[in-house]
Amino acid sequence: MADTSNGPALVSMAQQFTGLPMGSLIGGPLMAAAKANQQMALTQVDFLMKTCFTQASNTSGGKTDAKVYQPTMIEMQLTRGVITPGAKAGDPAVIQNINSTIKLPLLTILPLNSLAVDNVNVNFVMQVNSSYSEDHSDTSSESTHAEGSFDAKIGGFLWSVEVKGSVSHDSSSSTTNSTHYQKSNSATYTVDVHAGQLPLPPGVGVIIQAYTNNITPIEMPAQEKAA
Amino acid sequence: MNTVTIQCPHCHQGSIALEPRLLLQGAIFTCSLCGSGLSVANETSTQLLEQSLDKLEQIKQHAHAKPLM
Ligand SMILES: [Zn+2]
Repeated sequence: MADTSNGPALVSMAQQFTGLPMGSLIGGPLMAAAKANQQMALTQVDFLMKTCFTQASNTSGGKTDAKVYQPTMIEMQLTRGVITPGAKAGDPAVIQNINSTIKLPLLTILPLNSLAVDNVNVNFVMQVNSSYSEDHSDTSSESTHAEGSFDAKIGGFLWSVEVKGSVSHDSSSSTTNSTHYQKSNSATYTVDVHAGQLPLPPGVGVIIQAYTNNITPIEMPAQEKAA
Repeated sequence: MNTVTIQCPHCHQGSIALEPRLLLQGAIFTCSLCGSGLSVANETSTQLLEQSLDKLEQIKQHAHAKPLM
């Protein structure tokens, strides 16, 4: 087993998390959400004031007062059944549809909802991987091969001498040495933001309710028929 | 569906649930109590309502599409 006591020190986990801008990481998205909410609220107020109201100057006694916002009205047709008794006793009652034109504030029939960031998830996952490994291997091999051979022959009368010899030697040596060091860091930062619809602010609800409660049919003058 | 409920202009007791987009197509919505029907009276009002609904829809879509950061 490799001796890591003398190798590079492992990364200190505490040190890795020290100095992280946690305030910015968590507070940043929340501040951005609040800013987005403010922008959406302003956009909606702008829509309400420009679309659902018309601006008029209230001039009295030669002095121009503050601007007056009057609700934009749209004309609606109200159809209701009226039971008319028969002309004579015993005649069946007649149901007549009476149409009248009424004016409704546009504000009351628009599907208004407060748009706002209703959910912010800040997922901060920081993963610090620190690892040290050392692989050290020595491979040494040596082989020696020796071989010898001798053959001698001695003869007489007609002399014959024969000498044979053979010597062989092989030797090989190899060494392998490898060292491996590895360190890695990774961080993941995820922010989920969802904008949804919230109930209308009570103030706007009160205005709409006041208008709604005062919807009363106004009989419009009969249109002159073309001759 | 973006249903809007208003008080009945005739009986003041019942309520009329409106679908503004269907109003543009000439739909008549009736009171739950007296049966009075409500529809858009004329072309001018239809156009005004349509423009307002389109504008509101744009605001809503823009709010959803806007990047936060
Ligand atoms: Zn009614």
